[in-house]
Amino acid sequence: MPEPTPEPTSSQVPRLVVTWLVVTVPLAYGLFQTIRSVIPLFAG
Amino acid sequence: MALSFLDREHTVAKPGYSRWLIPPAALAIHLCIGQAYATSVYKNALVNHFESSLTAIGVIFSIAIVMLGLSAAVLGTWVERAGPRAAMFASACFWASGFLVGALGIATSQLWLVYLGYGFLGGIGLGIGYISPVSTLIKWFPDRPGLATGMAIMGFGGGALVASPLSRQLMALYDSGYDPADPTSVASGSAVTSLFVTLGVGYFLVMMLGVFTVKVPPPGWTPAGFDAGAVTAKPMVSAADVSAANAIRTPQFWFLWIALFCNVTAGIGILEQAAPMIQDFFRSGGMSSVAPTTAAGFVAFLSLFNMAGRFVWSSTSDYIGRKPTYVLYLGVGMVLYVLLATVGHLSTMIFVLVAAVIISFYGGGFSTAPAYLRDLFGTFQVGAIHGRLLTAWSAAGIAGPLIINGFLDAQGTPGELVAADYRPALFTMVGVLAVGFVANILIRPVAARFHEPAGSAGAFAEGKV
Repeated sequence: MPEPTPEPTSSQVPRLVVTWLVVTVPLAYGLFQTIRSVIPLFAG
Repeated sequence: MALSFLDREHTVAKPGYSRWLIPPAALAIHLCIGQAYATSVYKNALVNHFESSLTAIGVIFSIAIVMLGLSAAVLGTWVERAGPRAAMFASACFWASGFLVGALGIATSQLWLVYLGYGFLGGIGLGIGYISPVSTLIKWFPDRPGLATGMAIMGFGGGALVASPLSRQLMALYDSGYDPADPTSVASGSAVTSLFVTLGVGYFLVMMLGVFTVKVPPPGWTPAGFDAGAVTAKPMVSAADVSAANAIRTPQFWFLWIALFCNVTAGIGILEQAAPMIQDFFRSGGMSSVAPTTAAGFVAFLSLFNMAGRFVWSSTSDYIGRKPTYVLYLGVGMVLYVLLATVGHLSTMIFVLVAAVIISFYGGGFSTAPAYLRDLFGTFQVGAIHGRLLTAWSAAGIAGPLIINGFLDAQGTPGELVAADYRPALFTMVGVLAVGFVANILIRPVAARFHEPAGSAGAFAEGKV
């Protein structure tokens, strides 16, 4: 079996940024909204 | 063939492929299927639309969770053989079609179609999706399996955090009469139909990110600087592989099944009852000092700890070991339940903090389990074994609410209960945790007669058998 061509590490940076953004942005939105709804618990 | 890109052999990473692309691929799946924990957002809207009971609508979620356990157990070996990309694609198709068939059911007022769609089809998507990235993550992160599976399974907890506010905002967009800030406001059936279509399409697209990003490491790959000998030299970590069929014949599997079952049963006991529980604990003279908005804040606080526990405790288990981590969940869990029962009513802060740590242990139990399985049974069919272990979750989903509701029904009527009425249920949970604690202590390394012969595991992974 021929040896596969290595993927250059630098070309993966944009892909890493995009894939992590796709999952962390909604997660950050969910966290923000949840923390907002937690505030009444400690406000009293 | 058009779908050949899904085959395992087409997903083998080229040298140099960053393993840090795998956790977001896994998160893309788990964040979407974690929506299953946010069904309460449109529960009342469906009760109104179908003019049915809460129980009849609750059956939708129950079918989905039962199908999760069944499909993970039955299809686990297929997931292992077909590879993560095919499994994630199948999960996305089932999950999205579940929403679309469910939307058709709401639009045509046919509740059975919602059972079939979200419950049956969506539940299969849940089961396949839950286990699809686990084995791949463990193979990419042999040095930190707890961290890797913790990240993915944290996404399942995070999925509800995203889906709850997003669903409220979307329903407000589709129904001008619905106020997301008002807990008594109920959206129309057509708004829930549109919500289901939006979520089905949206989740399918996000899950495709996982499908097109996930890759399996080339045979024999290890991360730079990784010393396999150092890992297997740790107590309770095996270098041998055990098949899924053999794993369920070992006492270790069933001891871990019992430990997970007990941990989940105890956690569900609080999660199921969280909002009324905090109000009942601080009730005096028929009036609770905890307002409904504060109780809702408590539920949100628990969901944060549920999610954080999945990541923090599972990552910690890479350093202290899986067995000691389960000793923590079950042993300290017992102490915390006793504290909750005896001094929880003295201060809301004590009550909130103790309950939050208990729920972090509940979440941690889920995310540490795949790494525990890897330690005991190797990486060979860890995804399939994990699928079979998840039947403990399905069983606990029945046992936990039965225990807590059974005791509370015997103590009085909802809305009139006080802290003392919870004590029998909480002390029963201490007993449940003690059973799990003993089961975990009894776990020893798997006997050599269950190990795969050298070489056969690699042949399976490459699809040769």
